[in-house]
Amino acid sequence: MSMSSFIDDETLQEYISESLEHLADIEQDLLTIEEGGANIDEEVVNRVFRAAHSLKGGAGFLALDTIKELAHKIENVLDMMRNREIAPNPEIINILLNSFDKLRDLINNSETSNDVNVDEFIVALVGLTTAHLTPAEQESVSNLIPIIKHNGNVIFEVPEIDLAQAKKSAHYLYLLEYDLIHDVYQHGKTPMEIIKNVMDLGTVIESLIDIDQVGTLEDAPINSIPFYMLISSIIEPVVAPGFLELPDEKVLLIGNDGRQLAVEVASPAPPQPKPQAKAQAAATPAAKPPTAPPAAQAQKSPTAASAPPTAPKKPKTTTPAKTPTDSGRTDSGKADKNESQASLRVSVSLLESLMTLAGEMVLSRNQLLQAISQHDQHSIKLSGQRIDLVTSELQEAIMLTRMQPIGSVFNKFPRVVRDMSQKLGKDINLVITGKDVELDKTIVEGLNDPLTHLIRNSADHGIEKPEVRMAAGKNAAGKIELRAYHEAGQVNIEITDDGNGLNPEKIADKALEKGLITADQHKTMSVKEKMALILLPSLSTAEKITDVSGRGVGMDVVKSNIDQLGGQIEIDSKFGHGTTIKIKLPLTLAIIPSLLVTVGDERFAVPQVNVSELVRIGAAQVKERIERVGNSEVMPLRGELIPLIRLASTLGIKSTVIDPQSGIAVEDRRQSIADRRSPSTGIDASLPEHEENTEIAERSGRDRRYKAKSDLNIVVVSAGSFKYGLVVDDLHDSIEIVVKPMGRHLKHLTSYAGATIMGDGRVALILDVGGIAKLAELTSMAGSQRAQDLAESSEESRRKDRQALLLFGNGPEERCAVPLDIVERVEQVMYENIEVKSGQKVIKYRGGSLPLFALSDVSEVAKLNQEQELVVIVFTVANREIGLLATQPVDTIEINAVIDQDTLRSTGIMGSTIIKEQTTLIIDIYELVETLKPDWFKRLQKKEARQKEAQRQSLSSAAPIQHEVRNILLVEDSDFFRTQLKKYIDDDERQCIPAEDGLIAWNWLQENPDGVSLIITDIEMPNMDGFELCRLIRNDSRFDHLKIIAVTSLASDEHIAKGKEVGIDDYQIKLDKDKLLASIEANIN
Amino acid sequence: MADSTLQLCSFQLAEALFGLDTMLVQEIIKVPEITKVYQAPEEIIGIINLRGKIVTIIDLGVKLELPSTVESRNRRIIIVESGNEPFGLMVDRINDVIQIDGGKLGPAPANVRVSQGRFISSVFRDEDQLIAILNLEELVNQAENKTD
Repeated sequence: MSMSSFIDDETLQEYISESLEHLADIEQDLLTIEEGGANIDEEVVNRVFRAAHSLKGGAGFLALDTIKELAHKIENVLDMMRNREIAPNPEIINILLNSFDKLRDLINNSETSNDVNVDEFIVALVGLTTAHLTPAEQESVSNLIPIIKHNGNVIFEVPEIDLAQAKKSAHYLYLLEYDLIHDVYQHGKTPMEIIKNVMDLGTVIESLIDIDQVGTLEDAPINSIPFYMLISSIIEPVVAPGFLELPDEKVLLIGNDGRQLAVEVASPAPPQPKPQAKAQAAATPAAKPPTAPPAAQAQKSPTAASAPPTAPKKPKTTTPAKTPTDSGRTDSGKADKNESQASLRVSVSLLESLMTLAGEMVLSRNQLLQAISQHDQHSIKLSGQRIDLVTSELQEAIMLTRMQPIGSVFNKFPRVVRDMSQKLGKDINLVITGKDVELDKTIVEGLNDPLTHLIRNSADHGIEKPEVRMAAGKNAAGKIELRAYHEAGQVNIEITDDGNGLNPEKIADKALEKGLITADQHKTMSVKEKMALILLPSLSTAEKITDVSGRGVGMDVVKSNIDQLGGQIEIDSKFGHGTTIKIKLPLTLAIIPSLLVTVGDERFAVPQVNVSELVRIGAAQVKERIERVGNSEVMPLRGELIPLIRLASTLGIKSTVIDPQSGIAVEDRRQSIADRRSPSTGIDASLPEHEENTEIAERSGRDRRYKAKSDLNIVVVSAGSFKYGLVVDDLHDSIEIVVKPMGRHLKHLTSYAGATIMGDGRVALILDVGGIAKLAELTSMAGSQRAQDLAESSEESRRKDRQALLLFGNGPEERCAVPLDIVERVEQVMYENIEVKSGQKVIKYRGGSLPLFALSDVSEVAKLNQEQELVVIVFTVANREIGLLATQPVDTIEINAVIDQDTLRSTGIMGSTIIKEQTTLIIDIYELVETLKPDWFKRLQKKEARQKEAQRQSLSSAAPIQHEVRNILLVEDSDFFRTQLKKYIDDDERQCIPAEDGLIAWNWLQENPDGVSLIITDIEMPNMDGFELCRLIRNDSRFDHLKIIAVTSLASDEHIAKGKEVGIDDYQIKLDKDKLLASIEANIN
Repeated sequence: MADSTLQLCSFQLAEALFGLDTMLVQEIIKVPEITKVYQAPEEIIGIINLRGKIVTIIDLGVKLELPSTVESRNRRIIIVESGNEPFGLMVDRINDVIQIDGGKLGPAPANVRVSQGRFISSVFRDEDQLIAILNLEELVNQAENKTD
C-alpha cells in the first residue's frame, strides 16, 4: 500500500520541490570538493551532507524507502568525508555524482521509486564507507541493533555502525514518537516543518510511519498515526522535549544497546546516559546553538566505551567499489526532462505586490461600475485610465513570476564539462557568466537540451586534445565560455570555445555530397553561409561519432529547439581558432509585441522580433523598384536583393483591390506585383491595368484612399540568417498580443505561430515568418542563395574581391579614388608649408622632404587652391615615398566597381566609376609619377632604349618584335584587379593574357601549352581557385618550366604555406606594383 | 431502466439526422465571427474566441462527406471537449434533446459508406425517425490523423 494514501499530495509536492532545490547546487559543490582533494572545505562538505540528510529525513516520513536508503548511504560517505576518514578523489566524487543523479531521478518519479533497484549504487557507496573500516567495524555494518521501547515493542532495526557514527558527533539517542494527527496537523503544522525542525536539532538515523497502527477503514476511526524518528542530538534530555515540541513521554532516550533507558527522559532527576557522555556534554559550550548540525569537532572526543571501536583509521588505498555504470547517467538525462516542475517559487514581495495590484484592480472596477450607473462620463474615463494603468502593472508583475534565472540551466554544465573532459582525456575550463539573467520559465526549461548539445559539441569537437593544442601553440587547457547577457530587450547567450573552429569548406563539401546544396552554390557561398549550413538537418561534421556527442542528433535539432523558443542562432567561427555560437532569445513567450497587417479582410500579427523594417513603395514606383527574375520578384534594398513573398497568394487568400469605378473591393487577379499584362478573361477585363487605376482614381478625387491600396506595403522580415519581404495590403499598429496555442488540428501548420484575441474579441493569426518562407518554397538556405543567384550568378564571387578604395577630392567638384592597399598614410598639410624647390613641390616630412604631386600636373583637372583643406596621401612608388595632394573629404569605401576605361581615361587616370552616385576618377599613381619622374624608373629607360631599337628594326621588317614579347597568363576574377594588373604589367616586352578564373585559364593552357612564360594568378576565384589551378599545372610535365606567382589582397601565413605546398613560387600583394614587377622580372622565363 | 436510457442532442446536417450524447455537449452557440485559417484542412472552417479560449471549428458536413453546412440563421456550433481541448462542430440546425431507449440502438446500417461509418457508433430508430449517433473521439481524432 502506498503511503500517499494518507499523506497528502501537498506534502509530497513540497518534499519534491525542496529536494530538487537541494539537489540543484550539489553538483557544483561536489566538483568544488573534488577540486579541493584532501584539503577539505568543511563548509561545502557539510552543505552536501545536509542536503543528503534532508532528503533522507523527508523520504523516511513519506515512506520513500529507496530514496531514504540511497540518501542514507550517500550521507554516510559524506559524514566520513567531513570527519576526514576518507579523502575525496575523482572516483569517489564520480560515485557520489552518479548516486545523486539517481536520487534526483528517483525523486522525480517518487511514485514508483520504491520499485527501482538501486543496488549498484548502494554497493558502490557502502564499498566506499566500509573500505576504510576495521574488520570489527565492517562487522558492525551488518549487525542490526533493534530499537526497543519500554513495552518491548521493536520499532525498527538499525545497523550498529550507524548508531556508532551518530554517537560520534552527538551524545544522546532519542526515539521520537510524533503523532501526525495530534502533534502535527492539529497544531497547524505540516509534516515537513516538523522534520525540518528535528533535523536542525539533531541527526536523523532512521524514521518510520507505523502503518500497522493505523488500521483499516473497518476499524474504529483513526485517531493516531505514529511517526517514529530515531535521532542523535547534543541536546540535553531535560530540554529536548521543549525543542522538539513534543510531550515529555514521547521523547524516549535510547541506550547504546538500542533499548529505551530505564528512566523517563523528562523525569525531575534525569538519568545520566553515560558518565563520559555527560562530561562531554558539559564540555560542549553551553552557548552553542542547538540548530547547528553536529559539530565536526565533537567527533574528536572519545566515544563511549560501549560504542564500537573507533580507533584512528588510516585511509587505506583500496580500490573503491565498482563505479555505477552509465545506466545511471542515462537515467539522469531522462530525469532532467522530467524536471519541469508543476510548481513555481515566487518571492513573497512579488506576491504582495500582486495582491496590492489585485486590490487596486477591484477598486477601479467598483469605481467604473459606479460611474457607469451614474452615467458620469468623466469618472468613466478616469476609471478607464486607472484600469489601463493597473492592468499593465499587473501584467508586468505576473510576468515576473514566470521569470527564472538562467543559472538553473547553466549550473549543470560544470558537471557536463567535467565528465566529458575525463572521458575524452581533455583539459577544459568552463567559465560561466551571467547566471542571474532572468528569462521566462518556459524558455529556461527549453534551453536545457540545445545548450547541453552545444556545450557537448564544444567540448567534444571544438576543444582539441592537449597535445594537439600544444602543437598548435595553444594553451593545453581548452576554454569554453558560457555567457548570458541582456541586449536590446533580448537575452543573448554565447558559447565560445577556443578550439579548432569550424571548417566552412568541409561543411560545404559535406552539404554538397549530401545534395543539400548545388555545386554552383558550393562555389558561390560566403564563408558565413557555409558555416550556417551546419544547421541543416542531417549534416554532422563530426568525422567520427564519439560516445559523447554525435549521436545522430545534429545542430538542426538545436536550431529547431531555439526556433521554438522564438530565438535565433548565429555561428561565427575561425578555423583553427575557435567557435562562437550566439543565441538570441526573447525575454518571454507569453506576450509579444507584434505588428498588425491585413490582407483582404484578414488580420495577421507579425512578431516584432522578426520585423526588420517596413517599406512602402508608391504605386508609381512599383515598376522601377521591383524587379522580376524568372518567376520571382525581388526588391533591391541598400545593395541587398530582398526576395518578395506575397502573403495573399502564399496562404491562398483572395487579395482585393478597390475597383475604381464601383468602389467595391474586387479580387486582385494579378499574378505578381509588377505584373502589367493585360487582363485576358472576362472577369479580369473589369479590372483596369494598375497604373491606369491610379489615374482614374486621382481623377475621381478618391486618390488618397485608392493610393493607399495601390501602394505596395512590404514588411521586411528576418527569419534566422536571411531576410525576405512580405507583401501585404496594409500595415497597422504595433500591439502587444497574448499568444494562444492553436488547436490540435492546426498545430501542424507551420505558417502560424499561434493565435491571439484582439481588442474587439476577434481572433487573429500570428504568422511564423520561417514557416511562410517554407510555404513559399523559399527555404532559408536555398532562399538566400536563390535570391543571390537571381541577382547575378557572378555577383557573389565578385563581392569577395571587393576593392577597398580611398576616396578624396581634387578641387571642389572632382572626386577621386585610389586603391587603399597602396596608400601608406594620409596627412593633413597647410598650404603655406608647401615649398617649391627646383621646380618640385615638397613638404618637410619626418625629417626629410616629401615630393608632392598633384593630379593637375599631368591631367586636365581642376587645380588645387589655397582655400581648400589640403591633405597629402602618401604612397611608395619606385622605392620612394611620394605625396599626392588632395582635398577633403577623405573617406574609404569597399565596392565592387566596374571601371570605365575609356570615357575619362587620361594620363594618371586609369578610368572612372560611379561611387555614391558621383563620377569618381580612379587614379593611377604609378603612371602619374612615371610621367613626371621618368628617371626614377630605370626599367623605363631600358624600355625606351628598346623602343628605339624596335623602331629601327620595324623599318626593316614587318613584324620583327613579335618573338620578343613574352606572354603572361593573368588569372584574376575581379575586373578591377585584372584591369589594374594588366596595366601594370603590359609593356612591349610583356603581354598579359587575361583569364577570368582558374578553369578558363586551364582550358586556355590546354590549347596553348607553350603560350606563356609566366602565370600570375589570384587565389580566391569561382569555378576553380588558384590552388586548384596550380595543382593541375604542377601535375602536368609540359608546364614544368613555368613559374607561378600568386597575387592576393591579403597573404596570410596559412595561405602562403598552402601555396608553397601546391607549387606556387612567389606571393605578391595585388597592388604593390614595384614588388610585383620585380618578382615578374625574377621569375619570367 | 435507467441504464438503457440515453439523452441525445439531435441535429441536422442537410436532411440527415444525427445525434450526440448530451453528456459530451458543453454548450451550443450561435455562429460568431470566425477567423479563417488558410492552409488548414478543408473541414476546418476556422477558429473563434470562446471566452478567451481559441476554439477550432469543424464543419461537420464536410467532415462526414455530406454537403457542407449552409449559412443560415439556424446554423449552430456545438461545443464539445476532447483531450482537454474545446472543439466546435458546425451543424445546419439543432433539433431537440430527446430521451431514447438504449434497447432501440442498433449498429450502423451496412449501406453507410465506410468513410462515414467509422464516425457513427450506432443508429437509433423508432416509428418516425432514424438518428445516427456520432462517435466524438473518432470525429476529432480522425481529423488529426488526416492532416498529418
